[in-house]
Amino acid sequence: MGLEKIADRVFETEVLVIGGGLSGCVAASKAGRLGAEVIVLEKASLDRGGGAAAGMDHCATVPNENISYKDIVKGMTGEGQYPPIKNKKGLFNSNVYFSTWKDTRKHVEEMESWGVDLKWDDGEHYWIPSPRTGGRTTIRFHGQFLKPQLAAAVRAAGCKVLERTMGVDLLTKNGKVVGAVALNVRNGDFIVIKAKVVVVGTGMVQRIFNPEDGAPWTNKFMYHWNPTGAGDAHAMAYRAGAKLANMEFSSWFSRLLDDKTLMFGSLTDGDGEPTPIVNARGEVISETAFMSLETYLEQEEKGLTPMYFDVPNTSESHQRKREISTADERLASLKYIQERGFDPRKHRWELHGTKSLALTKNMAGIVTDESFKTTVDGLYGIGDAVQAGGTVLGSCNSGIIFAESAVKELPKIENSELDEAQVKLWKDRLDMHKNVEDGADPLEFETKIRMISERYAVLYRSEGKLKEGLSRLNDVRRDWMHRLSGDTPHRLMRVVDCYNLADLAEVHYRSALSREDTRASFWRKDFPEMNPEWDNQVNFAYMKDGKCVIEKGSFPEVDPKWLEEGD
Amino acid sequence: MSTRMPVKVDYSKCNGCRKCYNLCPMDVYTWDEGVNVPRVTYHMECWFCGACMMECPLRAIDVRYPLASW
Repeated sequence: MGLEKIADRVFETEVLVIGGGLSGCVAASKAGRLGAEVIVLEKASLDRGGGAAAGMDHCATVPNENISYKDIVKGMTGEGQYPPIKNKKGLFNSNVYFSTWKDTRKHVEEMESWGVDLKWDDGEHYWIPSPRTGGRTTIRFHGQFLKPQLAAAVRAAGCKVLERTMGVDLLTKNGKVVGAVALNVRNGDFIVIKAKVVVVGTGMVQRIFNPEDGAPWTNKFMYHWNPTGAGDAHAMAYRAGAKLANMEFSSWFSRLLDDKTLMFGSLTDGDGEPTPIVNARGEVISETAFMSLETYLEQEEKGLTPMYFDVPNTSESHQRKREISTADERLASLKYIQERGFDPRKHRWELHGTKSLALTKNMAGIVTDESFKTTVDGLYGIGDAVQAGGTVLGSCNSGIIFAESAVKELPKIENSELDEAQVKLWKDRLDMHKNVEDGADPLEFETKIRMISERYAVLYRSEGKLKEGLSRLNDVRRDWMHRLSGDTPHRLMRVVDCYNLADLAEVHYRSALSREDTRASFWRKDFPEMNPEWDNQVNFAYMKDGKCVIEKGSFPEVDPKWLEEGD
Repeated sequence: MSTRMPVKVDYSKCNGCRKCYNLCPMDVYTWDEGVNVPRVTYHMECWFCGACMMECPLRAIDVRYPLASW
């Protein structure tokens, strides 16, 4: 039959990058500069797509004389002390994190050489201290144009950019990833891309939980982080047989109710003046602006909630720094404050302590090795979607390390043919959704998944509830998935989102069911204590023959060289 | 009843540059080729990130937070 007959457009490239956010742009820019032929797919636009779409105010924990990359990683992976998440040792392949963070400074300089401006008004880095180390650790920068600058770097590197084009699924041949199918969400073109190496970087998984303050019938994407990705990278990797780890862990960040961005750089690290957290009586609960879920629940038990960021009691200079920080990260947030008549010099900022926001970044994600290769040949993962690639600098580090490694591999990779049947399967599936009579809105399906997650798989999890949740999820999939209407290319994108979300919700519930334990950011009411059987044990999830497999296993021990002093 | 939309385009200022349409992360806008202006079609999907407001060269776009987030 021939691919040209099935697809509207067919491309061939050496490196295919799926996701044009921070990690995808850094990866593409680096791979292009190393001479590789690169195609980047981005669902939205390169200039305003991904986690930093509206801007960014800081990159945290940059190694320097105050904090070594080893200390940063020890904190992240539970080898050291890093509030607020306790007891997370053994849930990471720490070796990957150490090698990821080792050359952070070099990578920052490299991005700057591409025209990405991480410096302050005087042309120098503006360091702010962390309450955890007491010394400078974080770079504050005016990141309103971070994405447009990165997008320009990608174009300057000679990459081919397909915007408004969503990676739908990976194509495999003999257990190896050899390309992907994609959808243009504006004109509906069905696109096939053959590639020697594919890398996925579409951010974290949020949309299986309710948005922060959207009403159920509208404002469906009012999440803190960019909600564009529905865990596309995780879902595609999972279906291709790549392992995901810790997918039962969800994030309990102390969300601000009175602002639309977290302003991490200015509130928690506080530029030398962290904002304290107080309870309803005004008693200071945390000086360092970190609060764990346990702390929130303790206060709730005592009847001392809500909890607040005590912004009014900060100095005037701090107030101004906060305002600049907001403008750098999300200008619209200032407007939100203004519209509500909210005065940060007078009003405390309420914290939402018990809202599960997403699957935990830097913990739940695609498993990779030190070069960001997944457990499936031909497939790499980067950024928030993978275990060691979280945060701005994790995205940057993983993008560069991936590119350096993958480009070296390219000459060794043989060309392989695509499996037309796989391409046809997605073509037929999408065609079916275009023509559903009396179809359902994919947003309604998505909302239903969130309702199931929130009801059965959030704070008070138990075997019974998780099983009930799984059974309801299966019912909804069986009865509605094929009836979702993708009558416009845009809505067809939302239908593909539903496939991804349904797969990831299943992985989340099944992983949670498997872990009979309470630790780190995971709670089971029927196993309320740390279960020694789960010490150093990890849930790995992958798809095999169309079924979800959850396997208990462990990561390699930390190589003692990383724990030694020095460097 | 005319209901409040997350973004409001002032059509008297719009010059049809398509920046909002080209840059919106959530693909909220469609383009009305007939009169060469953006339409807020998928308004339920607005993330309130403000990218369109920031990028509009003529300041013709206003982001308005919804009742639900008061």
